[in-house]
Amino acid sequence: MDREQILAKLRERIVLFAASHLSRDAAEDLAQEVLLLLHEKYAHLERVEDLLPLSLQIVRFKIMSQRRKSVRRGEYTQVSITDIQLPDLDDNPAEYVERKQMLEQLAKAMSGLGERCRELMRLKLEGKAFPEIQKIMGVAAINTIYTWDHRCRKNLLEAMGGSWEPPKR
Amino acid sequence: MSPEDIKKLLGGYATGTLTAEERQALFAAALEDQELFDALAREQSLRDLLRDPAARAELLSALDTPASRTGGFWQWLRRPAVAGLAMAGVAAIAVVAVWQGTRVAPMKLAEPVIVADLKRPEPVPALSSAPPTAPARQPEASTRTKAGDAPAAAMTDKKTTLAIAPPPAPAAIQALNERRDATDVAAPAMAPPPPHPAPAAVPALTARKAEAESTAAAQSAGAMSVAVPENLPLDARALFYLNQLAPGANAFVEPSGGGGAAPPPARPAAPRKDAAPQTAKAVSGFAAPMSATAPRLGVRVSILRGQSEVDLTTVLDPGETVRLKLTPNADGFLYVVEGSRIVASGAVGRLKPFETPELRFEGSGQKQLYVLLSRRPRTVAPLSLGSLASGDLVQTSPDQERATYVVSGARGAGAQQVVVPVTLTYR
Repeated sequence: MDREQILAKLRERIVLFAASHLSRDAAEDLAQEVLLLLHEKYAHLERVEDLLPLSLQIVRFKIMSQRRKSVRRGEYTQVSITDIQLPDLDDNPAEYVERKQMLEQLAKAMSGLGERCRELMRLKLEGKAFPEIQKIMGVAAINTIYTWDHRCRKNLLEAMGGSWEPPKR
Repeated sequence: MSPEDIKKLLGGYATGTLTAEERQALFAAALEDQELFDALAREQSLRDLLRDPAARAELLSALDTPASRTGGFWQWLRRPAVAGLAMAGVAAIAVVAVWQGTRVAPMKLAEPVIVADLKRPEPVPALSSAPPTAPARQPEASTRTKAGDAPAAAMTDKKTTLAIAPPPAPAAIQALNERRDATDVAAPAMAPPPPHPAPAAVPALTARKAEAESTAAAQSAGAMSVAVPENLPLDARALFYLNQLAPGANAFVEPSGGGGAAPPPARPAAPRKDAAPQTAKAVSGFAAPMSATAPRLGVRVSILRGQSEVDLTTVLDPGETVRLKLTPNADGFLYVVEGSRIVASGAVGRLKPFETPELRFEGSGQKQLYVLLSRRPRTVAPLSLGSLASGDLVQTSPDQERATYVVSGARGAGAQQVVVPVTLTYR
């Protein structure tokens, strides 16, 4: 799959995802902004393993930016495309607070996990890949590790209240 | 990888620990699957957080602290198996609680303990030669306390004391009234009698006196204060149980006074001038029936057909297997003999049922067995047991019971053994 095909697929996915958070037109504009950014600033990236995570990160920043702006201006409907700014990847105070809250909740939720999940999470945070975790934990099949991780992630998400991010005010 | 397995790679996306193959498979699938793409997008915030080494370090330190007991407990409690077991336990407890609440607890009445109650007669104001004074009554009161309360104190406090006393007989009241009149006439030199009590109180006082005298007489005879009519014909059942009421009925050795279970020796009644004739009369009235009902060995016999109890007169089916249920009225040893063999034997307790092994006889007609109840163990010659069977036996089959009582006759009173013939009838 070449770059153009990947970007076309990405646009389709971004529009559908953003439409669940924003209006349809805003979602279309948001996807266009992301592709524009990928085209202008990240033209050297061609693989899906690079383009997709980057596009997801841009989408998240833009959605957060739009929410803040809507709250600040009292706008709960459409956002003019002229107001959508390019993402600033540096931390701002609001994001810092959100990150801090998220980190505290995550730490609390992780400490309440079972022993196996805690061990699994520890190995993942230490940068171990699933095959390495499989060897460390002495499990015969890699699928067992996948299943354990899936359940642990589900438990962690439930402990976080169903979302990684703190509830928006 | 199947789509389901690819979704399990989501956990590695946020931590950035997917291998190149896993990343490629996950992202390629996400381009085709909107749901997976959305899931990846929702993981992005966590991924952004975990890309910060400081945040990772903080989470690792949180993981290194031991899990709180409460959190671990709740995690354990949220497991389906544990929750199911807990629900089953609660349901079981609820069922038991409801069952216990609706069940009617059987009333268990305390068995009354029959004891003798010694009552000293109180002085009748009409019979005394001088008005009763407080100092004169004091010694009597203390004597009554010692004599009357001592046996009761020997009993355990937990048991109920039930005093059985005969009602005052009209004849005794009449005799007392006559004697009081005679006493009044025979003592002219005495001080003038005190004024009679109120008319309504006289019958009560005389009745109490008669009661006291009859009680003292019974005590002097060493027997219970049970009123047994002199000429009452007693059947085997009455004799069987009457032995249990007489002290020492179960003892074949004279009490030495050291045993706790031995009955206390009868305390002689204090002689009283004015009560002597009545005491003698009462003693003679009680001694006769009590000696006639001296300890007699007896056995309650019944047939057990399975779990049901039937009388000895029951006609059994040919080849039917039955057991004998034998209840002696004294401690001892039981031997059940059939022909030349002893079919059952063993030590028995008073009023404790003894059941023989299953008995099976071939053919029809009557089968003769002999039951020997002996106070002491003895060597039994089965063939000679029939000759020991005395014809002096009292036998009763009460209508209200499916059993036959066989007790020694009058000549066998006080004997150390009794032989009871038992006849089984087969159709």
